[in-house]
Amino acid sequence: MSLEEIRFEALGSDCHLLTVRLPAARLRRAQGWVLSMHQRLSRFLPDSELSRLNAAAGRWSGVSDELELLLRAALEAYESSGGLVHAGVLHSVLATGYTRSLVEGPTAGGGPPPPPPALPDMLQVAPGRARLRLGTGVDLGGLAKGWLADRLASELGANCLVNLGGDLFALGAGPDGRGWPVGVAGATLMLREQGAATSGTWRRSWRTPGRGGRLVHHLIDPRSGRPAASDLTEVSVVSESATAAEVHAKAALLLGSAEAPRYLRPRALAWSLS
Amino acid sequence: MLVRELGLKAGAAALTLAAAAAAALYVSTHVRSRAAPLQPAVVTVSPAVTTGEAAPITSTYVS
Repeated sequence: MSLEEIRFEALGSDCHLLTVRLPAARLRRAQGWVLSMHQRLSRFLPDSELSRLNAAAGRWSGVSDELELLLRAALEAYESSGGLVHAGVLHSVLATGYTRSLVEGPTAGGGPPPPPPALPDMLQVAPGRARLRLGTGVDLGGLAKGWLADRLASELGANCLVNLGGDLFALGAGPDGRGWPVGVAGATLMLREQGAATSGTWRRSWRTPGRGGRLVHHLIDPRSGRPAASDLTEVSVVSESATAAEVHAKAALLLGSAEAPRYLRPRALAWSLS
Repeated sequence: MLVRELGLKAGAAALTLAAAAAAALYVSTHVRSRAAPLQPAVVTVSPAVTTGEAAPITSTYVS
């Protein structure tokens, strides 16, 4: 069958879209949609919709359908992960020095803020609007990639694979009818109506300035408000959606190798810990 | 003749060792992340997922 694909950079990552029997123009439109969502959801762009929401903390702010749904997904992720996947750790992330794209390099960090309040206590979402508690902020990070991958796959037709920076969703029977062959921690898994994601601490990590600087990374443990001190450095998960895979991979990484299998067994379809 | 052969062997061995040392020095000073996993992890797969032999068309990865 005719396999069409397109690769591009967005969301601070490499993106890869594949479809069977779909005009290339549809893929280019899909690329345009991902790029437009990047403009709206990036915390590094001061004029993005997300940055405006964060800047308006303390009062209600109008939000688009997409941001409203994504914020609701963040609240669901918080609940389903027992509070481990917490979109409201923006100030903790900023305190590590991760204030801009790491291509530009980290900045000097500040003292770690106290752990954030429970997400439902700091984020309210209503039809067409949202409100953050004063002094708090959200970073949708990997959750946005998973959610966008799920949403785009549902728009792209019955046989496609959307991979946004490693968060992916495979829909349909794939190019030869046996599913989409996806690499997961060195193995090939044939995915069909399934999502996969990988969470890790090692890629977005850096050393604090000065002699003997500490190695810090971007993955915040909401229980401490500091970079996670997990004994795991990378977790890959296959689940029923890219969003679910992203949530479970991050939660498992934060739990560490002793507790992660018990957490993943009832939730994930496949996983690897390292 | 024997001396020349030994010289060639010694030279080849020295060249190999020098190349190995240079390569070791290079990789130890160009590590992208010292915390990166050194080898692929074992994948636990439920019956809902099938494994394949084909090369993956794309992959999940840390980004």
